[in-house]
This record gives sequence, structure tokens and C-alpha cells, in this order.
Amino acid sequence: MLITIARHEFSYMLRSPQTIVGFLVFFLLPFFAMISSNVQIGGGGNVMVNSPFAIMQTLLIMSVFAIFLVPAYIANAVLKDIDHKMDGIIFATPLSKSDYLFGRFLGSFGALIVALFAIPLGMLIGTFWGSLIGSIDPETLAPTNLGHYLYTYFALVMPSLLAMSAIMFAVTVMSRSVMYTYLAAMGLLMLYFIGVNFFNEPEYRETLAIVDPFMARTLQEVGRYWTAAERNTLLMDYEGLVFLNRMIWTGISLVLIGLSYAVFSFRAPAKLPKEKKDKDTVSGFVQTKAPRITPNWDKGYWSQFWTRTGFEVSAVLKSYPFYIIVIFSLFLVVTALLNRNIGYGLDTVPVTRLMVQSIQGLSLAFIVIIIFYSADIIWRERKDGIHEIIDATPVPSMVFVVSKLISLALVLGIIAVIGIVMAIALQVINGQSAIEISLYLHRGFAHFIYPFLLIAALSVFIQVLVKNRFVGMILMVVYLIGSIILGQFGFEHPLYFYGSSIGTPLSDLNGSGRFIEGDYWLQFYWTCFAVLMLMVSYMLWNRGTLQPLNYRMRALRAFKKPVAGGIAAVAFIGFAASGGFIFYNTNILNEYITADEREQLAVDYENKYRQYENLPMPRTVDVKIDVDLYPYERRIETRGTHVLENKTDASLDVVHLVFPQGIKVPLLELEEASIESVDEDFNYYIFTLDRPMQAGERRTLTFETVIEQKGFAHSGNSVTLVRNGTFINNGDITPYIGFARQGMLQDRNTRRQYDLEPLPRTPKLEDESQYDNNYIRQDSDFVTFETTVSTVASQTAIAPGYLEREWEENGRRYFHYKMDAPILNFYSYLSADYEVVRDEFDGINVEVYHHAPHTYNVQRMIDSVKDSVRYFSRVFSPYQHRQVRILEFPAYRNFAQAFPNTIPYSEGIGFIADLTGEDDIDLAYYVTAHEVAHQWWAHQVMSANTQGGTVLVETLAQYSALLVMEQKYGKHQMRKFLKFELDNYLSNRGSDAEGELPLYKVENQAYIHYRKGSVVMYALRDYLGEETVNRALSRLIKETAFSSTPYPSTLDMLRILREEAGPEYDQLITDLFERITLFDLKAGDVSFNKIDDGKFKVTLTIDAGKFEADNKGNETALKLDDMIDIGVFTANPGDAGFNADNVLYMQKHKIDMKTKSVEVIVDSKPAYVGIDPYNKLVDRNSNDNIRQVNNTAFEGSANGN
Amino acid sequence: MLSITGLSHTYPNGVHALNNINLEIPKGMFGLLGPNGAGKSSLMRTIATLQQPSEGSITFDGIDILKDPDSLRRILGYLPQDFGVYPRVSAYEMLDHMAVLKGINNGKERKEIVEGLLNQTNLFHVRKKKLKTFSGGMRQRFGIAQALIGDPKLIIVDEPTAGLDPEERNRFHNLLAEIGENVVVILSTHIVEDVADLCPNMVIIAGGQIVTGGKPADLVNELDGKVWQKAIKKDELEAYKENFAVISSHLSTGQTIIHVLADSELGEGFSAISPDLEDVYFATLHRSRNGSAEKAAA
Repeated sequence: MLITIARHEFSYMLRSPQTIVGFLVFFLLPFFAMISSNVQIGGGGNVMVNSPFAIMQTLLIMSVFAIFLVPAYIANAVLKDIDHKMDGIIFATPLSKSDYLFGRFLGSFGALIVALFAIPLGMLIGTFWGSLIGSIDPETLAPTNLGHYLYTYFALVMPSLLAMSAIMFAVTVMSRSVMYTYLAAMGLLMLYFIGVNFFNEPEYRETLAIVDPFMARTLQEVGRYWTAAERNTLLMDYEGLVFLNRMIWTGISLVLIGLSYAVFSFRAPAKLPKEKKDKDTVSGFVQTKAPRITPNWDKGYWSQFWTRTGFEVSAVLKSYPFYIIVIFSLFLVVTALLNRNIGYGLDTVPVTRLMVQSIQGLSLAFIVIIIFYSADIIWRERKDGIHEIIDATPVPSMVFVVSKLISLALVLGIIAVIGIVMAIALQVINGQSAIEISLYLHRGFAHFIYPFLLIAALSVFIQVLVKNRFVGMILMVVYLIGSIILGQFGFEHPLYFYGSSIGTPLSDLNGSGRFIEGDYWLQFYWTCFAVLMLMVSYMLWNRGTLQPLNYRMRALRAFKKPVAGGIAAVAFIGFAASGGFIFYNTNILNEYITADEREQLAVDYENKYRQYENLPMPRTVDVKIDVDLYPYERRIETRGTHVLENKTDASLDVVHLVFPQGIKVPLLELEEASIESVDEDFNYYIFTLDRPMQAGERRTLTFETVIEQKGFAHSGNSVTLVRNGTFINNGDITPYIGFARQGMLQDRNTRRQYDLEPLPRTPKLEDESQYDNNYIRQDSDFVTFETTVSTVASQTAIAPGYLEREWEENGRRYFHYKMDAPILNFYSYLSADYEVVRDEFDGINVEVYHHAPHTYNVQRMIDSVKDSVRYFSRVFSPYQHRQVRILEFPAYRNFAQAFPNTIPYSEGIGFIADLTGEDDIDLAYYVTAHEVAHQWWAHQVMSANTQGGTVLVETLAQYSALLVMEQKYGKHQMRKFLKFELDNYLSNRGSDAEGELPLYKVENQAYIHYRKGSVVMYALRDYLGEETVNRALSRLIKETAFSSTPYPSTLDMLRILREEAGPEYDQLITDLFERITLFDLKAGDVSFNKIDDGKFKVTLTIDAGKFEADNKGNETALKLDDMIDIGVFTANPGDAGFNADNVLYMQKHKIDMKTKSVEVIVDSKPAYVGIDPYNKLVDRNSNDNIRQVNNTAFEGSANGN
Repeated sequence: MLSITGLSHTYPNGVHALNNINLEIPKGMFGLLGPNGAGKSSLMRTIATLQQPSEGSITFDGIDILKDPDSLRRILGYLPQDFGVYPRVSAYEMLDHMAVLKGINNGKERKEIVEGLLNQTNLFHVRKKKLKTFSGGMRQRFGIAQALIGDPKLIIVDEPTAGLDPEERNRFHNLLAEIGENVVVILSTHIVEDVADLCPNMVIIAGGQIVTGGKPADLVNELDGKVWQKAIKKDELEAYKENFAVISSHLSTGQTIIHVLADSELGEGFSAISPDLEDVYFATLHRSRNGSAEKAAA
């Protein structure tokens, strides 16, 4: 019987519309993800797009969204009898409860599995299709292995679906309501995202991996440190975390199914209606016979409209689902509000801008609410069966449509207001004084909600058109997906995607800026469209019997009525006119270029001009430049005079210049030269010299440029040209001499799509031709620099150099800066309404220019500057400037950057970091120290344009910052910091597009030169001693500072290091710098016993290995023969209170392949023992290095004696 | 008042619900009699502006219902055959809400109407109870009450007495009869008595077509002397159906009583009876069935 029911249910469900629609959606999603070159799930870099890792990631992520489909099957299977009022008949049959329930469940679950088989199928066919049409690069496609798809779907995804189905099943059985089941699905999804976001600290990773029902986090954890080679071959096996996870969820599924069985009854519980006792005492006169009163319609339908709106609103407010939604949203908001992570386990101060951005994190929830609630609200009468009565009333359909839309808006509004209240409460609790109510109301409420009202209008429109609310919901999901992926197919223009917007980034310095203007126009444009849509909605509003669309279309004749027609005409004119205005801005004032077109332009540039790549060119040696900033008009005018010098041995006949894209060049003159060609598409200018430029000869280049943001573009509106917080560097306003390589496409996969040879990221370390070029820019070396910058009267403008003079003229402020020593041709301009904090030490000025309210960490920055400059001056070399300035710029970009004596510092990082926790890593202090270190490592020692170049700049700056930090905060903080660094390095290895390289050959790979660099330099210092390392670095400066012929490379650094360290450390330096060395160190069993004179002998068994990885992550074993720390402690080194007193023993031991255990003698009873306990070496599992000593170990060994 | 011309409706699945209906309905009660599935509700819904027909036109008092449904709705009272209610809303609240929707904007007037109708439908004592908790009969009475709000000129009641006990049914008949004097009331039912009791005019509808119509008395008169009755044994019924035009059979004290249609005397224990409206109804259905059977045979 069970089989029969299951089979019947299976075939019923399979033929139902949700199977067709669900199959289609879940087929198309991975299909498009595969054939779109811009969407990448799992693949990328050296990881094949159909590697087992990519398959697992795609399928697991899709399975998260499959949760939307689950209720359509499971809830329906349980509820269809009740919904169709067949329950009385079915439940009275001699069917057993288990046959009925389990049969239905199995049948519908089977149908669900078949429908979702679309996911692997879509991905598989996508790979074939993609390679056929050429959107998938054959080199990124591995041979198809059906086993990978089948294993992933049936062994990994299916249990997730079973768990979800079991949960939905239980909810359905208990609530007997489709709405609640969908709500449960939504709630589960929200809880899931909350959980994943909330527990994002490394210590929760393993727990999340075990409990994630969809296993997305499990894959992340299991595959975290997988290299490309491993991602291309490995599947998650049923072991460890995966096994545990699947067991837990299978267990939960079985329990829930059992529980549902126990709860379910054919006899619906007889509910006694809870009614308050009627007070049947009627006061006053009661009408016994209704008077015949003819309605009066003279006043229009206002009173119907208000009544109806009130009714709809109260229906929403009275419904339980609403409260569930509110509570979920509350969770979501609070989570977002609390989650202000900025790395290294730190949060930011709760400034209003971030609170508002957290509230904006409700977007997804809003869309989900709109999709579910609009279906509920629009179909309410029909669902309740009262539609014929309501529909026969003389109320125009418009009243119904508008009142329903308003109640939908109200739901969103209430949730947003709750979010704002929570945010303000949080600010008050945190003692945040700058609560910007107007920002809340604008960006957290009005501007935030409005686009969702437009989406709500669309949802209403769709629900009116379709005959089934599930179809309407699925269409909205399709719209949602379209809005995400359409842009990736080159359909970027906001004018043709309903509800589109233009990016409106927020900043404390610059508020909403002028970004918001374009967006308002777009909102107006779509509002006009929404009005037309709503008019169609009310005309086609289905009254009474559901009728085919073609019948209802007759009602569109209502457009002929004067009022409706007039409004429609106004809306249409508004739509067309604002559309025209937007088009004028995006396509005429600005150039409309899609991402694909931009790539094509880069290709054209390369094809046309790369031939000049190696043409000898003169170099800039002197820069005199006047810059006028017009922040309100978003324009910068530049007048520059560069002195060019022929530093080559030969004479030169031509000079090529490239100006940045989109910049105007009103004036360009080169001494004794005439323009041969001008290419405005690429701003490429070629001069023929009237008289060849002899070796050593100098000529003057005079130019003017104008860079301007006109109106608004569809995307990429300038974040440098802003009202308050200009930050622009010279690369954006001055020419590059010769062919600029950075104008070419860089990504090798993209290049392959355009049939271009891969571009080496960086010239080889051995390439001597690049030794005379630095890696910042190759058209100049150290230059003399002088500049005058002007800005509006209210702002301060800053550039590198010392302020020579400041004056006002024509209502503008002018600043004249001059540098007293040569600098790299690398400078920037900042202008904002700044507060300045000044300090002085050892004859050096420290100035922090900041946004008035951002005072939180200014003192830490000043302290860091002082400590850093003093330390570096002592151990490396004297500071070359007399001043250090830190300048805040808007959070449109999140970094700090060191220019000569000038450090622009984003408001998004150190300025608003919350560093009040006792154990916090002092981010402001660290970043400042790092940037100050660049005054040595970049601005004194600049490296050659070869591999390893960033080691001399970034790695050494990291090392320097570590020194200062350790001095201030101690070793424990360092270990905490380095653990983040190690994790970051190991996590990023697998996704590197071009493969990992040893540190000394790093090709500007941040995870290597920063993250691995920190770990390596700290280990180096540990082995060599700080004094030796610093001596070597100071020698590096002595030998190579300000040298441009040649610039130093890592070869110089390693040579000096080896000379200073002596031959015994040769192997260590090779391991750290010259190859990718990985250790696998594991502390095994520990035992200890008391020996004479009260000491303890501790025996630690160890498991140690050493490997070398190639650039794809394939490992080969190395001979282990290293000095490695063995430590014995009375507390866990990972704990907060850990300090030097807890260390019983810490010595390096010679560990080789034969070492199986280590014995040490300590004075008191050990609690923790470890090998490399401070994680100084690169170890793929840094958590198993320490072992807790338990007492049985003691007793066991004591008995043994 | 209400005139229907050439009204046809075909559902997308090909079912002809209504087939070329032409009808003039004057003031007063009008009965629409027919078996289940005859198209009564389709016709009622179409008149009540809740369904667009494939073809044809309907006008009421100069209003083209299909082109200007809103004008008709202002003077319409409609009780659907089967309806649900909002959850969490009481009878009073809902009637009050309906009164607003029907244009009774004045609060005092609304109170009078709502209270009056609650009394007239005998619901006053349960006015604060949630509609969801109402029994079938109470819900039906609520349906009647809402249909009468706003002095409708056209009242359409679809199977109004279903679920009412005899007392309530009488009460309802009285209510309708009183209102029906000045307005058009269309009463659709498959219960012959309802029509017989109330309607001066009627039609019988079967298979989406009007098979007969007129004043009940006239229709009964036409059958005078043509209906014969006989008590037979139960197992003889099939044989009689073979040989006679048996229009109906029912049980009476254990015997099967059949009514047979014949122009002349049949003898064999058949006795003449004076026909009633029920005989008209069954005779009409009988003819209609035979007609379509013959058509099918031809």
C-alpha cells in the first residue's frame, strides 16, 4: 500500500506545474553560471570549472536555494487533501496512517529529487554548451567525470534535501498550513545566513562545518587549504566532518519524520473556538429592520479606499506570520548590526553609516517578504473563498490593488523602522554620540525602502496576471535571478531592467554625495513605469471567476477613459522623458561601456600599441604641477611641467605619451617636438622630435588635463571626484611616458578568450633588463617635486612635500608644497573639510587630518607614528623627512597607502575600528606602523620591476610593523596576529589564478607578500635573532637606498641576509624564501612522570613531516632535518591570559625523519606540551600542534615505573 | 428590466457552460430552476459581473453589464452559491465593512442597516462571533444579509436556502418576497418548492440552455391531464422505463410511485393526477434529455 501511494504521489507530483517550473529554474541557474564567463562558482585560477570542487560548490550552493522548492512538494503532499477538502473522504478510508504519511512523503520527496536533478544536469550541459559557444575556455575544462556529479548529487546534496524535507514535513504536519511551511523555509534560510555570518570567527569554523545542513561550510572547511591540484581531484569523503555532519542531519531527519508520524492524526483536533462571552446587553435602541438606504456615490471611493486599506493593514497585523517575519527580520538586523567585522577579529565603532548599511542588509529578506506576502495579500479573498462577495461590491479594482500594495509597503516600513530603532538602541548602548537621525530616515528608510515598493508593484502586477500564485512567486524568483545575472551577459543598462538602481555608496565624509542624484532619476523613471503597471493591474484585476488573460484584456479599454487615460499619458510621458534624461547622462554625457566592451577596448589598445612596448623613452626627472580641485563640480584641472631626461645611451627620435582613459588634454607641448599622431580613443600621443634627444639631454613637457564627472554614468561613477574627501593620485591626472602596460588585460583567462598570450604578471627575477626599472612605474625614477594645489575655501588640500605657502584668492584656498629630497614619481592630492591633530617629537611633525567625528583612534595613530619612526630610525636608518601626515579619505576605498611623508588612510579601516577590547589587535596602530615603515621600504629602498619586488616593500613593512607592535603589545598579541596571517595565507593558496610562488619570487600576490611574509619574517627573526635580521636590513638600506641604477631585488636582500646569518642558516633561508615549504607537525601522546628532586620528565610523541609544493599545490616530501620549538606550559598558549610565567620550557630541538618522540625535563607539573606551539612555521593544520596533558598520562607512566 | 441576448460561454477546456441564452426578466421574483451542473451558477455569475461570457450581451435598466460592470455593482446584491469568510472577523465587523464597500458612508446609517439586517437574519445575538465559527446555516444567513445591503435593484441569490432549516427558510422567503416587489430578484435553485412558493416567473435550464419558461401556473396548466401516476414494485421500474415516459419515481410507504407523461389515458392501474410544478420540472428535464439523446442518436 505504501509503495502504491508513494508511486501515485510521485507521478502526481512529477506531472504538476512546480516540477516543470522548478526543473527549468534549477536547470537554468547552473547552466547560465557555467556559460557566463563572469559568474564563477568554485572554479577559477588553476581550478577547473568542472573540477570536483567546482561541482561540489555549485551543487551545494544551489541546494541552499532549493529550499524554496521543498514546501511546494512536501507541504502539498500532506495538505492537498485538506486544502481540497478531500480530507473527510480520504481519512475515512481504511488506509493506515503510516502508509498514507510515508507514502506521500516518499513519493513527493522522490519527485523533488527528480526535479532538482536539473542542477547537476544544468551544470553538465552548461559545460558542453559553454565550450561549444566558446564562453568556457577549454583550458579551464577538465574531462567530464559523471561520477563527480552523481556522487555530489546523491551522496552530498540528497541528504541535505532529505533533512530539509523532513523539517518541512514536520512543520506541515504540525501547522497544517502551506504559509507556515513557507515561512519555516524562509526562517530556516534566514537563520542559516545569520548563523553563517554571525559565527564567522575562525574558532567557529569546525562547529559550522558540522552543523551546516547544506554542507557549504563543510566544503569550505574541508577544502580550506586545498591547493588547486587538490581541488581538481578531490571529493569530500564520508569521513571526519562530513561524516559527522551527515550523521547528525540524517538523524535529525529521521527523528522529525518519526515525530511527524506521532503527531499526525486523521482526526483533526476538534478546536473549541475561543470566544469571549458575548455581552448581549445592547444599550440603546436596536434597529430590528434595516432601512432601505440607497448609497450615494457623489464623493467618490475615498471612504472605500480608507476602509479597505485599514482592513488590509489590520489583516496583516493580525496575522501570526507577520510576527514571525518581524522576529526573523529582527534577528537579521541585529546580526548585521553586531557584525561589523573588519578583520583580525575586530569590529568597527557603530557609526550611523554602518548601521544604515546593516539595515540595508535586509534587502534579501525584503525581496523574500515581497514574494511571499504579495502572493498572500493578492490572493487573500480567493484563498478565503469570499472573493465572489467582495468582487461583486461596487468598489473599483483600483481600490483593491492600491490598498493591498499599501499594506505590503507597511510591512516593509515596519520592519525598516524596527531595524532603525534597534540600530539606535545599539548606538546608545555603545555610547555612540553621533546618531544621525536624518541619515537613518534618508538612507535607512526612504531611499532604502522605495526600490522595494517598486518591486512590490511588479509582484502585484505579476500576481494579477497569473492564474496561480505559485507561478507568480516563481516568476518573481526568476526576476530576482535575472536582476543578479543579467548584467553579467552585457545587459548592464539600468534603463531596461525594471527596478534597477545606480550605485550610491555611503561615506561619513561625503554622505550620499552626488551619487544619489542619478539614482533618484532612475527611481522616478521606474515609478512612472510602475504606475502604468498598476493601472494595468487594476484593469485586469480578476473579479469573480478566474478567467484567461485574453478575456480580461478587454478591460484595458478603461485606458480610453479621460482620467485613466490622462494619468497613463502623464506616467508615460514621465517615463519617456526621465528615460531620455537618464540616457542623456549615461550615454551622451558619459560613455556607456559594458564590462565586455571595456575588455575589448583593452584588447584593441594592446593590438594597436603594444608594438611600442620596448621603445626606449626618456624619463621624468622633475615634476612641477598645479592642480585645481573643484569638489562641488567634480572636476580637477591640472597644469604640469615635467622635465624629461634621456637616460639611455642612444639618442631618441620619438616620444610616446599615454594619458588616463576618459581624461581631456587641452594642452600638450614637448620642447622641440611636434605631434605626429593623436589617438583620442586611448589618449595615446606620439611626438616626433624635431631634433633627436641626445643621451643625458633634458626637455620640458608641458600639459594640461581636465578630469570631470559629468552628470551620472550607469556604473562606476567616480569615487575620486567627490564633494568632501577628494583623493586622487598622479596616475589619474598625468601622462605616462611610453606604452603603459597596465592598460592591457591582465587576467590570463580573459586574455585567452581574446586569443592573447598570457601576460607575465611580473618580469622574471633574473631579467636584468628590468633592474633599472622600479615596479611602481617604469617611466621615471626618483624625481624632484613641487606642486600648488587649490581647492574650495572650506577645505584643506594636501599633497606630498612641505607647505611653503598658503593663501586665498578668488574665494579659493591655495597650498604650495615642495619636497626637499627626491621622491618616487608617486604622489596624491587630498581635499576635505578636515580637523587636524598635531604633535611633535624629535623634531618631526605628526599631523592627523580627520573627519571631525572620527576621533576614536587618532591618538593610537600618533603613538604608532612616534614609536615606528623612532624604532625604524634606530635599527634601520634615519627618517628622510621631517613630517608624517595621516589623511582620512572616504570609505569608497578601503586601504591606507604611503606616499612620501603623506599617508592617505581610509575612514573604513583604522579610524572607526573599535579597539576598546583588552585583548584586541590594535588595527589602527598596526596599519599606521606598516605605512610609516613604507617611508623606509618603498621610499628609501625601492625594488626593481621583477618578481619578488613587493618583498622589499610590503613584506619588510609587515616585518617592521610586527617589531613595533610586539614592543608595544607583547608576544601573545603577535601570536594571535600571526595566526590570522597564516590562516589567510593558507586559505588563498588554492584560488590563485596563476599559481603560488616562493616568497622571493612573489608576483604582487597579496596573500604571499603580506600574509606569508609576516609569518616568514617572524620565523626568520626567531631563528636568527632580531639583531641579525635588523643588521642585515640596515645594510640593505645602506647599500641600496635611493638607488635606481640598479634597483635592488630579493637577490640582494637574500645575499645580505645569508652573509649576516652565516652558513648554518642557509637551509632555513632556502626553506623560508626560496621554496614553498610546508610543515606538518602534530603533537601526539604525552606522558610524564616525576623524577628525582621534584622535577618532571615529559615525553611527547610527535608526528612531523616537511613538504615542498609546486605552483599548483602538488606536494613532494622533503627531508626533515630542522630545529623546531618544543614547548611545555602550565597554560594553553592560545588563551588570553597566557604569559611568560606559564612557559616551563621552550627550546629548539633537532627534529628529523627518525624522531618519534622528544623528552624534556621541567621544574613543575606540565599542563600543555607542543611542537612549534607558537605556529612560527607554515603548517597546514596549526591546531594540532599543542596537546593537553591529562592526569591519566601521569598515572599511566607512574604505574609503569 | 434585465435582458439577456445570445449569451454563450465556453470554458477553455471546451465545456459549453451556457449556450445561446435569451431571456427577459421583469421586476419581481424570478426562478431559475435546473439540475446540478446545468449552468445556473455560470449564468448567475455572469449576470453578477463575475464572469465574462464568450458571447452575448446583458443589459439591466439601460446598463450594459459587460461594458460597465461597476454601474451594475452599485445596485447589485449577490449571494454566491458557496462562499468562505475572512478569518478573525466578526459578523458585525464584516457587515459593517460590506456596507462601506457598498457605499453606505454615513456611520449612523451604516449602524442602522447592519443592526437591522442582523435582526432580520436572526444573527443579532451572534454578531460579535467570528464568522469562521459560524455553522453552515448561520453563514448562509450572513450571506443573505450582506446581499441586501444598499437597497439593491438587482438581487441574485444562488441556492439561497441550502443549509437552512425550515423555519429559517420561511423567514428568508418572507424577506425576499417583501423586497422582491420592487426589484428584480433572481433565485437559482434546484428545489422546486422554492420557485413554486415565490416566483411569478421562471425558467428551467438544463445543459446550458433554457428548455422552458413562463409563469409556473401556465406551465402547470400545459401539463394538465398528461401526468399519470402508478404505484409499482421496485423491480418493475426498469420495465416501466422501457415502455413509458417515466418522468419521476419516488418512494412512498415502501412502494415505488412513478409519474408518467402521456397524452392519453394509459389504463393498467395508472391514475390521472393534477400536475404540480415538480412534474413540470421533471417532464421538462425528461424531454430535454430525450431530445439530446435523439440528437446524439441522429
